[in-house]
Amino acid sequence: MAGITLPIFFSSPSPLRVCRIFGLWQFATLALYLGALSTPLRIHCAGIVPALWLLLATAFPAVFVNLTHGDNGS
Amino acid sequence: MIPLALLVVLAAAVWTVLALSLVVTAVFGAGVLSAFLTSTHFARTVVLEQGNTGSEKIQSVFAWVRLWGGWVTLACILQGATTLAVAAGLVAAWRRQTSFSDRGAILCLAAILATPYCPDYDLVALAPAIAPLAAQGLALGFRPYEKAVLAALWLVPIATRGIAGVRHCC
Repeated sequence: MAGITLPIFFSSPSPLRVCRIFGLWQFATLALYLGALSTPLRIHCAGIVPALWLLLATAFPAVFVNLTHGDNGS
Repeated sequence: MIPLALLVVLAAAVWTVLALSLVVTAVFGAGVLSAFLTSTHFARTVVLEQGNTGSEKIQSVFAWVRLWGGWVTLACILQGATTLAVAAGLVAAWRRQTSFSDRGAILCLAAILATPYCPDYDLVALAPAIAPLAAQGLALGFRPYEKAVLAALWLVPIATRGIAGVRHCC
């Protein structure tokens, strides 16, 4: 669309490179999201299995929204 | 008076944005700054005011008014009033002696309500509101309505666009 300046990596001639960078972005932001949630959960849920919270946090519908069409929400 | 703890939180947010801006500028060059300013004009006129990307995708009072055919001026007035009310409510909530989980959840919800541009993918910010409240409820017990509200909040990100889209079509 006119008026939008896309990030530099979108001008890459290689679709494979774009896919790799997109995957890196998705995994990095997912890790940041889980890291941000882990702090309050560690304080309040010392007795609960960490893997359970990890699963619940990953299963939050907004995570899937970001995986499909989110650009900077994650 | 604004509580000191809230000012610290807001200052942390400002410093985070500044630090990320510096990193992005260092990686991609100073051109990203002018590109950002250009994109703000585009976002205001094309995305928000004209609704070319679909107002049903944006979960804000501004988009709600535009979706129902309201003028841009009316949308600005109602969004401005909402933002001011949310800011006042946020300060009032943080002045009370409530738990940090409650105040953190209110801050996350306020951040979502205060902006005119909140696409459904930005509702991921509901997670840091839901998680500590659920944890606190498990540890100390839930208030009578709390489980239903948390369950509704959990579903909001996946339901909003569809509901707004149906209303938009009919």
